[in-house]
Amino acid sequence: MLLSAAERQLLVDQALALIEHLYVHLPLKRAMHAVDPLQRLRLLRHRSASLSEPAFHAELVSIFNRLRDLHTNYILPEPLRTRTAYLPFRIEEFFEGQEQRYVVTEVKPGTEDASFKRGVLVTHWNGIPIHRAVELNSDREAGSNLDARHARGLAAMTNRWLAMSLPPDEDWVVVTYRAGRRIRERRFEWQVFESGLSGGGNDPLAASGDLALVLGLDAKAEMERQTRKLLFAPEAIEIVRQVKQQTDPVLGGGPGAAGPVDFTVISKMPDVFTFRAIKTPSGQFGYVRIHTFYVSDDTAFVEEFVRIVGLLPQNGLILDVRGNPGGNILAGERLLQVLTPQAIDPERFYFINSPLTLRICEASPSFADWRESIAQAVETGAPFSHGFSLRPVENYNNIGQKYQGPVVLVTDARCYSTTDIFSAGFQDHGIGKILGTSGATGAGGANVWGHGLLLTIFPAEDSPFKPLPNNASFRVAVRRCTRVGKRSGVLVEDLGVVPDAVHRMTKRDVLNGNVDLIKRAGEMLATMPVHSVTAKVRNAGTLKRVVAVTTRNVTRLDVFLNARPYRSSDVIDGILSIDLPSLPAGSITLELRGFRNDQLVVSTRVGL
Amino acid sequence: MAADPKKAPEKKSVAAKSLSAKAPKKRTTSEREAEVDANIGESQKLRDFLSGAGWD
Repeated sequence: MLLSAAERQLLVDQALALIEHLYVHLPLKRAMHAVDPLQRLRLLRHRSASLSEPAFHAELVSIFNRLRDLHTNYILPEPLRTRTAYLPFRIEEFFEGQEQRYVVTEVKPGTEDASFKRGVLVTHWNGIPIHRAVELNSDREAGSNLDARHARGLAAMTNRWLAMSLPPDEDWVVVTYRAGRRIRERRFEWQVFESGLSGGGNDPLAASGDLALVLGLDAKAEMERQTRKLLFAPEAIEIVRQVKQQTDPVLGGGPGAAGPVDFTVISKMPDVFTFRAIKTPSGQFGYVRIHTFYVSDDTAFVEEFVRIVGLLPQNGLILDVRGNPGGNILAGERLLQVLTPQAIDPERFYFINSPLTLRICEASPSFADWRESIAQAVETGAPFSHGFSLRPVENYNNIGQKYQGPVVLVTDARCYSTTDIFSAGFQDHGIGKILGTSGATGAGGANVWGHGLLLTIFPAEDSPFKPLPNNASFRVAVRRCTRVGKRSGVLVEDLGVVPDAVHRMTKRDVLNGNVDLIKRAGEMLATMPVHSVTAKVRNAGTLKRVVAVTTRNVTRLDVFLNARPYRSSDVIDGILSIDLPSLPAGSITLELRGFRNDQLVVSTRVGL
Repeated sequence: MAADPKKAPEKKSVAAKSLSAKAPKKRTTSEREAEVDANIGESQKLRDFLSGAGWD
């Protein structure tokens, strides 16, 4: 179970190969955080024989954590890799004026007693004032900016996946808390269980196939999210099971199969989406929470989102991505199109220029676009390749706008990677307003690859990558991304997305369904105009088709047939009819683009 | 292509159902505890786990 001296050397050598020749953020991290991971790794190789097993792993974890990059990690070997240490409750923070407070928001069933329960305020942690204890824990975490580190440190107070966090130093924690007017203490032992995935989620270290190439995920936060469901939300786990039974053909389900789950109120991807119509003092709006982008099928993801928003009020949407650790970058970037009439310009991704990244681009046609600029680097001296989107730009625009109401996106410092990229795209395309509960998102701006993927890209004996002992592994950011539009070229990494407005979470928010946060989002939505264009085809199936178009808040309507201009007219709100030319049978797409003051404000596509 | 201002814009039907209306029967604390324990499997103390893993 313990590593031999040769196995330790192998781990350090593989880490060196990754960081020195593949890690795309190395120049940035050296500048931003004044770190020298290569020298630390060389020292570790020199000294490793004198270190205990825990000290060796602790140093390797520390070297990676100091990069302040939640994409670039050392994955500890078995038996730690598959274990989670936990305390049977969760704490969250809220603000009273400028003061941060910490409150118990979830308790594992059976742990509550007459005084320790949801809603008690935590004042001390092993005798340390709680804000200082969180601060100390945050410094051990890898978050890119201060807000992100704080959020990660707070989460790790009670929930640590031992694949990517060292075990707690303490065997137990004494929590001092205020229950009513009384100050009380209770001791909790750290417990360990085998990190299961019975909650319906996917193993964040087991992405394979195409997904492994387009991953943008904080794996640790994804596992923590799944652990919280297991510990505190058995009802949510049960819904996941019921949905699977009702929709999985292997289990006798299928599309339209009858069962206990009502899909007008529960998503067919219950681990990914929750939603409802929500009343606010400013009106009734739609509310969708996207818990994760970690899905293998980005098309199914977008289709389910479209189905959901079709069930909700069309006059405004609160889209809440707080705590979303990312996942499939294509899911995030392809979702943007359904919220806007604008053409989506996806983010550009760049390798660092090195002999190794050139070998990768020569080894696989998937990276052919990047090959030429990396090969030229020997002459140009450019540090990075040219930037390209992950897929051809048509892939991000082949569905078009499906929700026409205004949208407020709600973010926090735990939003990471794909969620950063989605939020950046939302802002860069002017889709709506962003309301943040932190000063910035978590700032993960890259495509991350696992060591296992590199083994498949380089299977030959002369591969620079070797199998690792005891299921240990690494993850590394290999392609950094930059923003588009007015912020073209701006990095997402370490900077994140700054919201248009900040709402500090209140006690009512953390204990009473985000009521103040949603009120604020509703107020923002109420100030945003609603534009709509809808179409109904009459005489379908005949050559004399007529389209009845309903417009709202639109002054000009442009009509396209199969992406070719057909006509353009000034309009006033109401219903109008458009006679279509006789067209041969086949796949014809009618697109209507609505303008106000010559600005494109809404669009819809209809298949004829 | 003249608009007809007399006709009101079409409104999409809105499903404003409450999730709670479809929520399953509320479980007791002991039922929830049993479900969580079944979901996570057996837990052990951190110290016992680390000793077994050779991390002492």
